[in-house]
Amino acid sequence: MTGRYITVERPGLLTTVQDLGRRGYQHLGIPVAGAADSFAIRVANLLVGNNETDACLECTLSGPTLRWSRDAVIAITGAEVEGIPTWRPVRIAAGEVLNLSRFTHGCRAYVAVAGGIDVPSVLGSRSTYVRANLGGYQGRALKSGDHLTLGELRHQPPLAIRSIPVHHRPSYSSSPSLRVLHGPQADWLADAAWAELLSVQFSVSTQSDRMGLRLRSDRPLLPEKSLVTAGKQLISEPTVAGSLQLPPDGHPILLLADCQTLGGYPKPATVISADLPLLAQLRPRDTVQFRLVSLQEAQHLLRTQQQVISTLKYALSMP
Amino acid sequence: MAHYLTIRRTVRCFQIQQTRPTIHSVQIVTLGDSSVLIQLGSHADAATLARVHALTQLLRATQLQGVTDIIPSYTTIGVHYDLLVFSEADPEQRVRTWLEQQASKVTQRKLSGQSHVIPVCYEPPYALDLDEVARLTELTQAEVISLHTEPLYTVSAVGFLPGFPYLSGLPAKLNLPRRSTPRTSISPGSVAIAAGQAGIYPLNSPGGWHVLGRTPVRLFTPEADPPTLLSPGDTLRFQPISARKFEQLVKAGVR
Repeated sequence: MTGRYITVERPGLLTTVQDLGRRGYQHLGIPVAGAADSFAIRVANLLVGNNETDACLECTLSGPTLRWSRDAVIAITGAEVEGIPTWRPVRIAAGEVLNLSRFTHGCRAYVAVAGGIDVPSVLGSRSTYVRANLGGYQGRALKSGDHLTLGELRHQPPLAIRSIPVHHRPSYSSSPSLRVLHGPQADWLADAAWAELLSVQFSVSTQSDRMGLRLRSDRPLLPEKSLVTAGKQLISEPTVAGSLQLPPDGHPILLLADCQTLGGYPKPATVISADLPLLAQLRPRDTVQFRLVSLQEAQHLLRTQQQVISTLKYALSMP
Repeated sequence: MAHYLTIRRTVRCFQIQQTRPTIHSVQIVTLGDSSVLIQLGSHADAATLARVHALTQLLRATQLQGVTDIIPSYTTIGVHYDLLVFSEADPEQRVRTWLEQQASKVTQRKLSGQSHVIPVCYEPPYALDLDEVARLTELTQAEVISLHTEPLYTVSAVGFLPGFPYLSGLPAKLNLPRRSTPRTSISPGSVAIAAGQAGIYPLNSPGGWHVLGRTPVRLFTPEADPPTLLSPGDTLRFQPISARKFEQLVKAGVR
């Protein structure tokens, strides 16, 4: 093989090609997919001179080992990875081997490469949706020996830039307080149950994936506690990433990027969009608490987060 | 197979009987900071479904800038938007106003969509649960097949998997709960029933429905536009075919 490409020496736990997701097909049962942490992937792209929408690698808990065919510029954001600076452009030399297997903080690291990962766009996106073998690199997670072709350089990577300051990043934590709105079935929970939902510390179960994070607590929100109006059944309806679903066992599920388009469990609350990056970086056994905010506050917080991206774009366009 | 293709392309409209010419109240609730649900009824009946699909069509026709997904289900429509596209201080209010305007126009409860004929082989090795369904419903296998092929089904919603149709119209005699132990793997094209509904598995997947047969028709083709054979609001009938015909159609690669 000639040209600019990456060879996957070891694939890591779950490494997929992702971009900002597939919009406009949910009515046909096709999930949005895309990067679970959309803030991190957009910053990673901007740091190497790519468009925000370019395809990157999403690496989970233990990342891949990658070999570069040519000199390249990359940026890693999201999770912190041992042995390599994050949230800034980094030069890679031809033949260099990069081992991303050890994460020190967070669950998902994004690897942007100047030029982007060149895979075909399927239904308007390069995101991988593994369950339907759709998009990304052959519709699946990466394997040893895969060769990923890189796209044409769009802009000169902004190598002079220093690391994005911590206060401009989402407040990643292994015990975050996630801000929620009232969901469509908010009134299915009694006041006491709401008080419980907003005071209990939940831990993240190991049975969590890109579809959703399963939460556990000592005190499940059981229907017997009259949390859910007795016998009330929900007719399946649309869901959204961030929806807090409450199945009959009383252990909430927080929906993520690959969530099913329709669901039949009540959704008393929804995590705000600005906090979805915090959700994406939770590992099994991390803990979360919930805090209720207003719609106006949620919208304001998302706009504030967008301001960071806009400022970064502006700064990078300066000579 | 040209036969199936021709039928698929015909468009059928039919009127759901109108009982009251009143405009139903709609309720709009916040789903998230970038999405709302519009509720058109509290029961998953044919009239509500017809109104859901009529409004879905109106929303698609009058597309509001910034709206990314319009997702109909039995009694609700999910509307996702990119709030950063809106110049208004309160984007949700803008979306609500648009939804209310369009909902007020839904007076005709007309269900329209493409109509399809789906060939199904009800023979071994495809009819995994035909025997058990016959036993549980106290019918003969021939009666089960006849009941299953009789109705004109409506695609109430598409979800669970890309292209998986939730079909309403299953005769009450075939109403069975899901299997107590779901199968870990169900083959693409499997035609199945559970919980008063019929469905077709577009992809290999775990599943708890009773499999009555298999269709050679592809329900999900990512490179096609639209990528799924069936859309919400479409109607379909099942047509029995022999195992030999099934294999011929698989070889020919029908879509």
